[in-house]
Amino acid sequence: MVLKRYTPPTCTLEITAKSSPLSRWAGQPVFKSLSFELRLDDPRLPDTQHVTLRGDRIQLETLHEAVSNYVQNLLGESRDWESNLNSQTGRIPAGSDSPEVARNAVIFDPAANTSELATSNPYSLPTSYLPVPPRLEPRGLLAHNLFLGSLSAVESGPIVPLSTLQLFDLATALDDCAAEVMALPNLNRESRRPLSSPWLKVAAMLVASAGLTTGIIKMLDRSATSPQTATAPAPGNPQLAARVSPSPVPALPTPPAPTPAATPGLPPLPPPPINTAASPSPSLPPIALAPNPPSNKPSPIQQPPLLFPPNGSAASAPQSAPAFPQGQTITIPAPEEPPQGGPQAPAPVPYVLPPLPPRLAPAVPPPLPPSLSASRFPVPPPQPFPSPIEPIVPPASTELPPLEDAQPTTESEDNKQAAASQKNRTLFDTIPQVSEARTYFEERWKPPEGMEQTLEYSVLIDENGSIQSIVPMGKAAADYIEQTNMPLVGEPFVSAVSNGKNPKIRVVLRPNGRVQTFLEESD
Amino acid sequence: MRSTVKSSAPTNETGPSPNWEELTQKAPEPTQLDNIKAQLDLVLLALEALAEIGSEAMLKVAAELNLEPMVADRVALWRLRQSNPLRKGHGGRKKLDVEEARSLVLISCHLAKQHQALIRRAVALLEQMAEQNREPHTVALLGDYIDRFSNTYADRMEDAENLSAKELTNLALKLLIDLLFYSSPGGHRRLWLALLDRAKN
Repeated sequence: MVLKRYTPPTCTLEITAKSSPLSRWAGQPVFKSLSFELRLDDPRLPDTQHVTLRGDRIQLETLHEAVSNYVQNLLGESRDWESNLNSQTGRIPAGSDSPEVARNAVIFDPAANTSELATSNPYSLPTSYLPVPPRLEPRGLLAHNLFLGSLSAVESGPIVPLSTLQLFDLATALDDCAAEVMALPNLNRESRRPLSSPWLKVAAMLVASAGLTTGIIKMLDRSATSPQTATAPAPGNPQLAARVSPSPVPALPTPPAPTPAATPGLPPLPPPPINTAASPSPSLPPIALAPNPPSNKPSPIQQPPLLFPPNGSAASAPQSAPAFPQGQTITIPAPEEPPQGGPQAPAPVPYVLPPLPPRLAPAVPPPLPPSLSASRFPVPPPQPFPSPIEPIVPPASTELPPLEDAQPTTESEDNKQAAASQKNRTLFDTIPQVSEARTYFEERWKPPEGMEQTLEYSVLIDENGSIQSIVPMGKAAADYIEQTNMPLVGEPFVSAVSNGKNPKIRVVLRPNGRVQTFLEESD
Repeated sequence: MRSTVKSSAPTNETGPSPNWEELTQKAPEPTQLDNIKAQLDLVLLALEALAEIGSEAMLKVAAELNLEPMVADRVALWRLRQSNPLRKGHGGRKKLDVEEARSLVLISCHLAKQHQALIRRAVALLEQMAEQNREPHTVALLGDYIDRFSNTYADRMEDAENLSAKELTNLALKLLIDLLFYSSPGGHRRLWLALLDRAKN
């Protein structure tokens, strides 16, 4: 549906998007698959010179940035107006200031199909991994050239000349659009950042597959009755995650089938070690721009890694972990409380994941799927933790919240409220002690210099709120425990637990300083 | 005593970039202020010359935008503008603080917005002249604008005699184009950033 149309005199900018069902939980419009069509159709020009450009949200944002920066540069510089107004010489290479813009004058070959770029990449990086952002240059004092980069259309060629009025109208339309449409809830607002280096991607893949392995192991351990999600990919199979990109993850073990039922008290899988630099905790708020995996225009990873359950399986799955075509939105149920067994929510609780930090973004499709699917099953953390979480904590990652099968409707209400009250609350805060624990560590956790691993501890709390036991998950956690300011056994830690149960809280301490906590189980 | 005036700038600025309030938190350096004063005065001068806006109109806008504490009356406005170091006899008030600069920015952009159609027409004509290789002043709208601009500049500014007619024309036309960009909803942000940028140069 056409969301909005901006019609300054010399161009038309149309934004289309699909309304996401998440809207009803989000309490505000949530859209996915946002795309734009920009028609440079100055009536003073013959129709043959009209140019139509199309792209997705990321391309729109890039274009907006390029144009805004260029305009600002024009205004801020004391240009030399001495020369003839008709001068054809471009004096100031006032390109976009955005880091992605190449400062040289190389024009990307418009004939090159960007998807070819992707397929030629061994990791099947999404198309826009190597996008050429648009940029502008003055042509004399009254005219400008817009180098389209990846936006080039067949009819436009790589460069579109713009008069000052056309530039102004374009800038105005883009600004208005940014203020209205792009300001709508979107996970990936902060996700546009420089791309990460390849090793991060590889590391992320390793982590993901390791996480998946762990998940499978746990699952096997935990519940004999739980139907298993397919095959666990071998730990050393990074390609799995990598492949996600342009097509649905083929090797994903989990089909979007309903997960095993309510297994109460599922200890959540350790979240994949990737960290979103963006938000402090995955809170539930609306978001949503989840582009569907388009065939010819795969969404860049920068798109919200919000995974969206395929409509078909949504209703039946207590939790949603569909196979994940890259860029889809997935909703992950929040960690549960003591078994509520029960009927599954009519639709999965939207669990909004923080955006993939751009660094990793285009490179690696959210390694979520493997872990996600695996972690659908409650599995107790195996003691001999194969230190899966190791490799990295690349700034670009998405946190997988502990998965929960039992998704009673109350859960979604809680989540909604959690979202509403936002800020320091996260979806993990099923009991107050979880957030207390997090606050405790947030005040104290200082990652040791040079430490790259994520540390996890399973902390059992007794009724008074003091520590009953601490189990480091993995070698790194054991090694660094002294530096964590972990309270000792018997020491007061959080407030007394009201329901008389002994909660087990997982504490995750990341090398970037981030702290997460979630409820593993209560017995 | 003047109280801090909350910006009444349009609130449709919700992008990732800093909003108006954040932008104007950052006060320019004193050395930058000189340049800023000159620039602001020139922007208003261009508006005066193009749309024949007088101080009445400016004061009216100041009132609409609740900027009266800054710009209460004609005298206050004159003093603010007189702070431009390029002005003749600027022996009077020399200071312009951030709040005042902000106010002038808001007033200028509001006026530009009000006269956007006129500014657009002028720029369109300018483009046409350029395309046809004609001198801008051969078309009435531009000719009148350039004349008014040059005369007023000469009346008010110290360095007017150092500028040739051509230079003044170019200055006028540059300002005209800038006005176009300041006339959009986000114009005040652009103007503020441009002032800071220029002040650095």
